[in-house]
Amino acid sequence: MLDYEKKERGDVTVFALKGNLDALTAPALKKEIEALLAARRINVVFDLSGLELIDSSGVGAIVSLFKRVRTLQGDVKIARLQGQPAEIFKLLRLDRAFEIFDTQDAAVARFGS
Amino acid sequence: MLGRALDCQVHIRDLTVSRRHARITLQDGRFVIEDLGSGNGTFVNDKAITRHPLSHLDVIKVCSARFQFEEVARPSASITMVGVAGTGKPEIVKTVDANRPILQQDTDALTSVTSPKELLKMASRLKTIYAVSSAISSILDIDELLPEILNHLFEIFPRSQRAFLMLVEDEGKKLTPKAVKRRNAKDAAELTVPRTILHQVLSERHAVLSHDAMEDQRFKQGRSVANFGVRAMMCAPLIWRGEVVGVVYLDSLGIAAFSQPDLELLTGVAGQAAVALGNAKLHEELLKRQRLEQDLHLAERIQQSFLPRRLPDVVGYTFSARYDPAFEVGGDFYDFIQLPGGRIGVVIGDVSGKGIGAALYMARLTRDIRFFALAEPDPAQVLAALNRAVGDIGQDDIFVTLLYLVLDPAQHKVAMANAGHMPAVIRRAHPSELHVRDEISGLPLGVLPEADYQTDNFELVPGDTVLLFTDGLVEAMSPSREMFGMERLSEVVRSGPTSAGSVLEHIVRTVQSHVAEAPQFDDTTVLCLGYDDPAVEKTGPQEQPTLRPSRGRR
Repeated sequence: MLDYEKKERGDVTVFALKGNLDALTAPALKKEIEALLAARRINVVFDLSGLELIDSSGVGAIVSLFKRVRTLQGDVKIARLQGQPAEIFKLLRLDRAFEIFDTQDAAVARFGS
Repeated sequence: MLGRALDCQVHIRDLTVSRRHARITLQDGRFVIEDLGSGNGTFVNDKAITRHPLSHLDVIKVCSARFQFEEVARPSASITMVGVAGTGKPEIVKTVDANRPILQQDTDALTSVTSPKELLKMASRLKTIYAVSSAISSILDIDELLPEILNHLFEIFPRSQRAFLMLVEDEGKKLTPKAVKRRNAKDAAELTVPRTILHQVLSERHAVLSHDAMEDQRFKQGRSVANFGVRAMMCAPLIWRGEVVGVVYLDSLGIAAFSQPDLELLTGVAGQAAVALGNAKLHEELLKRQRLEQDLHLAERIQQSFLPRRLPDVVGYTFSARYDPAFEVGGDFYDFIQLPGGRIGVVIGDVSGKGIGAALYMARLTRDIRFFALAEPDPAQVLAALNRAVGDIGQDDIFVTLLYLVLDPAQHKVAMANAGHMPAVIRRAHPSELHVRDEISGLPLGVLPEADYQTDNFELVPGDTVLLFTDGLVEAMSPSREMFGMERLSEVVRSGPTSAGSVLEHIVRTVQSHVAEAPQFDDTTVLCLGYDDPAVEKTGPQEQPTLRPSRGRR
């Protein structure tokens, strides 16, 4: 199960994810991502404080968005990484690709600076 | 895609339509229609176009078919291809509740009806419904079934002039015309159903008999409505498993072309049509699933064809490998590459995702890494080059964790670089200890084109063993959903047998007993390379690995 809440904060779209982001639920998020790109929303924050589990398909969905917004001079930032997803990010060294923030506000504010 | 070909999203059954006639795409936030070099052209608001941005309520004409483009406010929204916003003021004459099967209503009525005439009428109606049902229930191809349903309706209702069948698509958001039948080719092939009627049919699930003022080209050309009278129409829902899956619609210019018993009969036939349609849909899904399974089998064969068939044969070293695919094809792969100067390249990796896409990605990767490995001695440089190369494959949601190691057996030196993969575990013989080399790891391949990598250099002494594996090993789940884990693995390696071949066998056996009968969702790959210790060989030749299990090795 994946719940997500989408919020527009100025130029930044915030996805707060809850539950599992895996092979079963990633397609739903991918649909949202397509809509985002179609609307040229290229600054994205993932708030992962409620994410319990992520697998490689889940990482793939986030990485895919990351690659695509970067070609449009946008970026993806991660807020409130914890638990199993934090372990996966560490194992995959994804902290070298994504800026990671302790709060959602800090991640959103980073786009302004 | 609009066209005559069956796989077009808007499939138009008209021989004058080209197979791929036109397409509508979202470009810079606008829907744009393009003619794909069709024989008879594409028209928007009666003007021929090659490429044309669409506006709300534009009328698209492709040969005999006309569509109205309605843009919905949501940016990702689909296009609605059926005009439901009729301007006519329909007069609903009769409705029949389609929620209860008409056969059931008849049987109930039988107990109260006594007039032989009524009974005969009912019997004939049941006979018709039965005849249609037996004629269409065996048609499993939807494209064949839908026109056949309309053919039967034309036979049963000889005064009907046009028949349409529309299916509910996109989780109830869209009603799409799928089949049209006309008695007279001059009759319009487009349809506008007033909202009030659609509401009755879709929400209330009533079959509706109605009269509607004419609303077509002839009317617009200034002739009086009275010349053509009114349009009589019948519309009934197709209900399958409690859901409205579509709508059948019949109309006629004849005055009082349809009656209440006609409407009841249509409701009954629609019930049978819905069952046939449901069966055809199930059949289609089954076929789709079979194709998917075939794809997965093919992907598995592609993947296995890349796994090395032989282990390297190096004096003084023992290699072993074990690959266990999960129930579906996964993304693990490994390779041994013979490099100049007697060096051996060892590759282990995991492609995210499954299926053909991942397998083909892997194919490309195994080829590229061989190329870069031969050209470049430094593993970090090999990974950097490989990372830049996979960026061009263009599969955005695929990334790869990969560890690449080069063994120089003459110098007993190892150079290794890691792209987000599980760390190598090195078991030292003297003193006996374990090293988990996870300091040097970089980003997985395919995330960031400019990622860079580091090379870790170390030397081996006799008795040392290097263990490489994929996450499937540490994430192997027991029946009580407990992961095997890094700690358990370390313990098994530490306490296990000392010769390289036996270590691997020991690990695999321990993981297997942890897993027991629990289903596994990820591939597991373990590679082991050991610098043979002559002392061990002398004391126990039976310790030598007689078994080098490897599914990839033949």
